[in-house]
Amino acid sequence: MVQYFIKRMLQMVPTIFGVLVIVFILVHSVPGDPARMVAGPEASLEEVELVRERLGLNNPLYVQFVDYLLGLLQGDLGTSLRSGRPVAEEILTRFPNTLLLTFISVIILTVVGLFAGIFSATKPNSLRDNTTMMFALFGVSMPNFWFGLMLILAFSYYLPLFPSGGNAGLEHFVLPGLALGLSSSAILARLTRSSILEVIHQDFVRTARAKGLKEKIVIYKHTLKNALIPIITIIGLEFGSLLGGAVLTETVFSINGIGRFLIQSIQFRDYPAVQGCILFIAIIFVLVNIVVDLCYALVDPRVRYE
Amino acid sequence: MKLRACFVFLLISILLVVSACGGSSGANETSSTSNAPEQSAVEPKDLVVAFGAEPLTLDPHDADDAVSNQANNILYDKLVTFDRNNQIVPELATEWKISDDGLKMTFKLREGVTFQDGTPFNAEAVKINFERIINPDHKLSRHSLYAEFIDKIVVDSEYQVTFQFKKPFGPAISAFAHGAGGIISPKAIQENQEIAKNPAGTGPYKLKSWTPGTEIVFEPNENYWGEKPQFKSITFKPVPENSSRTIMLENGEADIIVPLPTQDVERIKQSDEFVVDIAPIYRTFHLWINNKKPLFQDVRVRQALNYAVDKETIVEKILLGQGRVADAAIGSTVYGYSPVGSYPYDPEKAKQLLAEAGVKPGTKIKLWTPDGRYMMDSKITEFIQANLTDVGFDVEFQKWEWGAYSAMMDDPNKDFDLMVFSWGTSTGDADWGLRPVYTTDGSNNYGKYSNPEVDELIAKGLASSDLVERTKIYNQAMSIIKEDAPMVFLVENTQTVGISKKVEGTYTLGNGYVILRSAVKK
Repeated sequence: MVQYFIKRMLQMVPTIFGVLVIVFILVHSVPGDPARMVAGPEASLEEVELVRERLGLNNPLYVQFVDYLLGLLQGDLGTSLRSGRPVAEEILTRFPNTLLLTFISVIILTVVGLFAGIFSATKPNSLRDNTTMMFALFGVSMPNFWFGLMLILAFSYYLPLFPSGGNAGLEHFVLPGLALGLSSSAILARLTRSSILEVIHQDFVRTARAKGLKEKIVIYKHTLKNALIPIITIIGLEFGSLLGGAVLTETVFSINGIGRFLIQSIQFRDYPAVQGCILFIAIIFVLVNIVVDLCYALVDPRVRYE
Repeated sequence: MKLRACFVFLLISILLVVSACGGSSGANETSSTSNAPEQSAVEPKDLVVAFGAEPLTLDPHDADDAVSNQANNILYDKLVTFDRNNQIVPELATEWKISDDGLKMTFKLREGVTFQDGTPFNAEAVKINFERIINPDHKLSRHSLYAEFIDKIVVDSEYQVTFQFKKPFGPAISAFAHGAGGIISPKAIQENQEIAKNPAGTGPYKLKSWTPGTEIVFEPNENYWGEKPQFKSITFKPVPENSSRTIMLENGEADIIVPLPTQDVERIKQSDEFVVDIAPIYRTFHLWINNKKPLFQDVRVRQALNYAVDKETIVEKILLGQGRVADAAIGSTVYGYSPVGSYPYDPEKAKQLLAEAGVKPGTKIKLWTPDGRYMMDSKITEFIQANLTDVGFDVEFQKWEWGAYSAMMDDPNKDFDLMVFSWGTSTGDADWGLRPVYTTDGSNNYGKYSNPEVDELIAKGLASSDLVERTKIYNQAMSIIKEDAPMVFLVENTQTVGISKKVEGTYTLGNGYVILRSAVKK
């Protein structure tokens, strides 16, 4: 297991390097001039040229890339063109907000999704199954940001229980957490349902029932455990992608997270910030994937990493 | 065993959710304190202002975005400032005079003023500040605003300072009233303190805390020389999403929102809890014509474009009254403005002019717009597309993302036909509204307009320091520009601010700053 983990970590290096190269090329080939953005639309061409020199944007691309890599090796992600602060600092001040939002959303997603899925699967094609799945379909098709706005309207405007935006305290994360968690729980519910239905007709479940075990034990201990692998995959994926920032939800709720920062940086052509964010997100995504793979071995003894 | 672990995980999860919800009662308390009727009328209040963006720097010499300037306005004083009618009035200087040859400007300074870090304010401080800006080595973004005309700064006495100019420079006083003229503590400058994050001015408020992306909080400067600050704290919050900003105003999370989105104006106006402040600003929104293109070299074609566009409808139906049909090349609040009139909407006249100029119906023209950069930009341009189609053009319409659009302006190969663009006369003086845009070698003359007579008049205006004379000169220049029609003059923009009725005494300047200094909250 430890060996496997080390191997995966080493595999990460070329992946991340690939991401770096692609992002560097993409970011620099998008039309738009960071010097113009920094100088402002009303600056003269000479002023823009001065800014370009100051930012080192006149160097050939490969020189800029080597400079960037050398900086990275010393743990320097560069300086944001927009704010003049170190990119690492910019990311780290925002990451706790994204992390908290992710945790709350994933918890809501897991709890609601799992229970709705089990609730449906235990009585397939019944009224309760159909109703639950109808809600799930609704949840899958509903855009997060729209749902977010509806939540703001309901619980912040008409019924002022929660603040409409910001990230000053835990209460600020309830509505965005619900917006993200509930809409992705729909996918999980559908997946849990089908995954359980697949397992429930297998021989070992019939054996368990034949032994006279209680239905609860049959479902939770025997069936669910064997249906967990795809469920873990989805939760892991969701966790990873939320950690990369839920751009629209963060914007709607004015949460100062990674996603909103990335979008602002792209709009401003803030090259170092965009590169830093994507690098950071890529690393997190790879790490989450490793953790998900390790979880497989925990729930299914047949999966071994040797 | 593992199943139990699973349950423990779920239990913790649920607990977390519950605690998160429990936290909401706290939120309620905090938000209701700002909502609740005050305990006593004298106790100072907290003021929360939501902006569409956040400040980038608290160094006034290096700030060129609106929200930074807005923050710097409460942190720093300038030598002179604009009053609520956009007239220049004393601030840290009590009086000033300009020499007859227009080459020297002398300021008498206010006595007994100290900076927020305890350093006394005097002529030496003024000298250190402006020497900092005009020194190119510091690479400050407002460098050229002052370096263009200031040659030397001389300390005459403790409270008198004289600026020696490189050339007679009419707009000088407006440049000193600009936000970039904020006076920083000389101690902070000399100790090379990072002013962008650690401001030290003489303004009524000082920085308390700044959580980037979340909020920036100011607290009163107890030693302020002027009228005592009225708030316990002022908080700026960046809220980029338009509808969220409006909701924050409506449920009391914010007292002021800047800007109030166009689509919410009517609703907010009808409520008796809020006021909507629609103030004209220095910014004008025009359709820029590429004067270099053969098609547009004929003045009749350019005039025809001006007759073809229905500006009244743009202002009333698209901007919902937030704006005014431009009646000069610069906005009405700009120092040195006078109206020269606008082209009426007359499609028949436009068709006639086009026929005279030999432009065949179905002539292709490209029309470009950014999407979402300026108020209703792409909506307005779509409407213009229809107007131009009506008079016989075949219009190729294209929306651009702002980053690409602004790069396009610098690219000589892009060769636009018509593009919408907004010009902010950032100094508030007619010179900056005209010289960069309409002179032959203007730094931002993207339309490639050239008229020697206009060049000469603008140069004359620059050299004069008599406002009455300058206004006359600029009126002449703008009348010629109007006849030449180098662009389609559209709208003078406004800043639309939503304010809770509990807050009184704010006003919006031509530069778009909402002035909070004299505000009070009931």
